[in-house]
Amino acid sequence: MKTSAPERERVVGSKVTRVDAVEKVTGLAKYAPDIYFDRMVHCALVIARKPHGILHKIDASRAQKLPGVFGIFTYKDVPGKNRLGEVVDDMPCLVAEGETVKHYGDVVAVVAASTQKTAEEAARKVRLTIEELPAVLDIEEARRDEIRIHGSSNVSVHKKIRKGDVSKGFSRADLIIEDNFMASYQEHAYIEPQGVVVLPDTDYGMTVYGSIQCPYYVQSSLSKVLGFPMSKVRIIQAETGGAFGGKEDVPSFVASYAAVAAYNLKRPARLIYPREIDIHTTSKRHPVKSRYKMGFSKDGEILAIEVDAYMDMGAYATLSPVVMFRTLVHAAGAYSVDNVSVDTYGVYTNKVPPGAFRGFGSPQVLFAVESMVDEASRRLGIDPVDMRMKNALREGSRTSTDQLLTESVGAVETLDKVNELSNWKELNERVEAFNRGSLFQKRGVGLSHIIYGVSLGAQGQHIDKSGAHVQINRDGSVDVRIGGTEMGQGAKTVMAIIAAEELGQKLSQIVVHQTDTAFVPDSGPTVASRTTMFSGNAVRIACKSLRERLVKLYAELNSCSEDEVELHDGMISCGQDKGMPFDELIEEAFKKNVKMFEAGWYQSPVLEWDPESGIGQAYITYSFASQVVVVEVDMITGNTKVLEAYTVHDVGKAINPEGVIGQIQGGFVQGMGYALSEDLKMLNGRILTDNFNTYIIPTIRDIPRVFKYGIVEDEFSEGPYGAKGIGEPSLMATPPAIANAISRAIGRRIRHIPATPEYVLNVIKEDAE
Amino acid sequence: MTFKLMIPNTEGELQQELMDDEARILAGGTDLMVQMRSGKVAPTRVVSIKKLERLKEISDLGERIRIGAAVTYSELQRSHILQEKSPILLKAIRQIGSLQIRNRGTAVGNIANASPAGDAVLAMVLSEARVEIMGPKGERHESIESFIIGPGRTTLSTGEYIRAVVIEKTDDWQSLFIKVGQRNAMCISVASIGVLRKGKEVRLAFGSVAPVVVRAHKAERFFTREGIDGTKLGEFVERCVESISPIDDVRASSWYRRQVVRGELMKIFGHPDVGGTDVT
Ligand SMILES: Cc1cc2nc3c(=O)[nH]c(=O)nc-3n(C[C@H](O)[C@H](O)[C@H](O)COP(=O)(O)OP(=O)(O)OC[C@H]3O[C@@H](n4cnc5c(N)ncnc54)[C@H](O)[C@@H]3O)c2cc1C
Repeated sequence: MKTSAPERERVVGSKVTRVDAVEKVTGLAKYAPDIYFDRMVHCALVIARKPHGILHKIDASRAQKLPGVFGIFTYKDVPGKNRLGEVVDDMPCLVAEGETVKHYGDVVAVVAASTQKTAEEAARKVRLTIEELPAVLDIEEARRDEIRIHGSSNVSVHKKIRKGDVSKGFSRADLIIEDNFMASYQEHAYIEPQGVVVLPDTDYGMTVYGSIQCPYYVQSSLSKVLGFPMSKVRIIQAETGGAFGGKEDVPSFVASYAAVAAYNLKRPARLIYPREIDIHTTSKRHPVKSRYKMGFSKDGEILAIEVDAYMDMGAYATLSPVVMFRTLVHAAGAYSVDNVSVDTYGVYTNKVPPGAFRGFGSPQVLFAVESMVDEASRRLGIDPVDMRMKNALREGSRTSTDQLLTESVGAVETLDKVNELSNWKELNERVEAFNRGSLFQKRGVGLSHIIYGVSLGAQGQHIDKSGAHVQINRDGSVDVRIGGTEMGQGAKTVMAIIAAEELGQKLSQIVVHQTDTAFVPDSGPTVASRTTMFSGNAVRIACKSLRERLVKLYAELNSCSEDEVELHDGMISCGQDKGMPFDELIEEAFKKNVKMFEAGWYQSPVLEWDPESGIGQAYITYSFASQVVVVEVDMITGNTKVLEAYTVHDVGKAINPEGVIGQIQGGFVQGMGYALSEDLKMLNGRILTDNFNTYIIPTIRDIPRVFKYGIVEDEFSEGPYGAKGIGEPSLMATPPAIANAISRAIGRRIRHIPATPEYVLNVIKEDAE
Repeated sequence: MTFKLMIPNTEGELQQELMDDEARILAGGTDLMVQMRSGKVAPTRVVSIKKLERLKEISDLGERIRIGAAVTYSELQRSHILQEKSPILLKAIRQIGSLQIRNRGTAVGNIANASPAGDAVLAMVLSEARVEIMGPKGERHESIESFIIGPGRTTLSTGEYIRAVVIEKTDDWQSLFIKVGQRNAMCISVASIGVLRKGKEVRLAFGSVAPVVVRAHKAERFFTREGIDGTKLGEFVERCVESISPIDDVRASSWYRRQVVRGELMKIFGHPDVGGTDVT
């Protein structure tokens, strides 16, 4: 060990330019619609357009006659299994004649034609004879089970937590609050709609290029639908223009439809969704209706919490059971509570099946629980920050599932920091002073404090692993291949930073390739804020082996001690020698036949979990966040403006600080849309807000003028350099902070998100009359 | 959706192109392109007016201002005559779409599109605009209120087009434009309110709360005759509300629209001391 060497600058934690920035800004980046092949056909979907009914007949005769139509494919043309669904395969690929259509967006047929326009025109000409059945359109109706959508009961999934004894907790309580909350849908609103190109390939199988979050899901799904071995299905991710969970399981469906056309025509087939089809047919955030009961002591300690939450799974369960696991674990919030009882249920309805969405079932309940805690602090006259501080999780605390937290619990620090950052006391005084002088505009300050389980957790640990492949080329350039995907969040940049850090090569010489199932083994999905940790660890492990070889080689060549070899920024050196460029060392390694590639593999530590009681290690670790917002509510229109936001996140370690900031900002804005304006409206199971003229996402003018953030780095020993996740927690703190701020501004509780102007005005008027 | 794009060089050629029933004028295209994509309209000929220099003019007619059919919102915003003489139109334009939309969209397109949510239409209704129409039978003029007859419907017949709109100068009136939407930018009015006031005279118009942008003529006369002191204010506001007939749609309910119109009027006329109400 040497002690005198100067502390070298690290790539990890430094400010770098996104590795994919130039291509994306200049338009060189290739997205699915940019990929063309000779003889490629264009596809369009025929959807049911009825919420519930028996499909008697598919009549494609008129459509078939249209010039340029190559084929119209139905269930009869599916070569393998006519089934889809990643967790529960209760969804047909193409609804068969004689079967029931279960929601408006159920896909019945795929049209392939010479142009997109012809395909769409033909799709409109396909006649479906559907005998309509009464439809189940909301959670309450579904629970009554008068009309059943699948088999025995509409309430088909139930998960629970039983910790301590809630009745004892309530009996000791000085204050008991009960309330009901509703969190509605949210549409992902990725800039790039779903899209794939599927082609019969040179290995006599099928290759898919697509806008895809989870290539391995697409691979296994397609192998079933086509009846091909997985070795004959290759998935190459195209650049992906946003996903947010919306491209987790859905691209498996999109690729399956296109594959049916490609298989039958033996031609490349392209299927790019128009925005309306995308909104009508693809997943959303689940609506969740919850009932909360919480007991508190006079001084603000949470003594007991009881929750029932019903989640609308739509017509098919797809990913819902695993989404619900996260709802379950997060329902009691970020606090240390001895007595917890949570029940979550999934119900079928005749509506679009929701699935994964940034936060995965947790924002709905985090909004509710944080509203409850805010209400308690108001009624008990305790400062909201103090209230959270009193109950916050610390090292040695136990979570709602009785998991002992042993390290990386930055919860309290995020509260301290947000208190400081927002100048909390003074901020509240400022807002009160404004309200005294204002009749029609009222301001409010809202606080939230959240927890977020990193990666897939106890119920997903069987797929919680990741591989990587790293290869150094003769010229010193480095190929990094991972199983996680880049979809705009910055995964490639983080992987390049890790490779540069470990190998000592310059960041610019490292290429992180588009994910391709042919090169890296099944690495699980790119979800659950797990990529930095899982793919990152895999890359780091691979690079460490390569580094050892390089160190050994340099020490041999220069007869120095391996301990003293330094690799940094494209130079290798030892002690005080003048060093050698990385590229020259690689040249030497090639001459000596040193193995210059390596695979890395990282898997989840084993989590102990009892599904019967909901007790155990739910997640490998947790991220924490605290947020303060100031809103101004127009008392005449009910319109809310977010004026100021302060947000602090415990991320373990910010490997790429710029990326973390991007996530914090983006997550905030997406959370703000969810909280305020993104109102998915339906009529008889049909989505009315099927484009961005009526589905209202925030614009740059809706972003608060004051936006300050803080980063807490309470390192996690399993994470690369201590990193945890930030992708999802960035969103989670915002809906409750905004809802609490509105509640404080108008003096009435917000119980529904989105809190649209109309909803807020209703709350103002209702209670006033 | 196949169509021919025609770019006439003279108004004569334009007239020829428009003799076809299936022809549509393309000004900024910010309504037309949207409607063509959704299949709401399917013209076989799309006739651009971008080469017709005369339609790009803004002229000062003394008491009035004439705005050519091809003048964009951004051009109107940069025009000194408009800046000085029509604060109400500029206030409305500032809240239309985004910079990109204002760079393409035209005020005349807003009239021809005849949406009850047309923000420029509302300002022009308050400015007693007259629409200058050319057609096979020559030129005719019509007040904007009678020209727009329903949502998306005007009195234009085959072969006719709008050449310009002529608005009153209203710089001697106090003006207010309130747009209630679903977010802070790029939104369609859920309800809009425009007010001009000069002493005992007032003009009021409401958008998105009836099949067309409506002027509250009765309430205006009440205001002049009775004033709004004491209990009169409530009566005045009720007369305003009588002129609207909002519906439920995907953006808001009729309940909400009524509430905000009533609430805003009470605020504007009942609380002269409150900020933002520069009409009183
Ligand atoms: C994103 C977005 C935001 C928007 N925001 C707003 C908003 O905030 N407020 C608002 O009021 N509107 C808004 N609009 C609607 C639109 O921008 C306006 O109505 C605009 O004024 C239309 O003008 P244009 O020149 O683009 O019309 P075009 O689309 O070119 O034409 C509209 C219609 O009028 C006809 N037409 C055009 N010129 C003539 C003529 N001289 N004679 C006869 N017929 C003619 C066309 O054939 C067509 O039917 C928005 C649109 C978009 C896409």
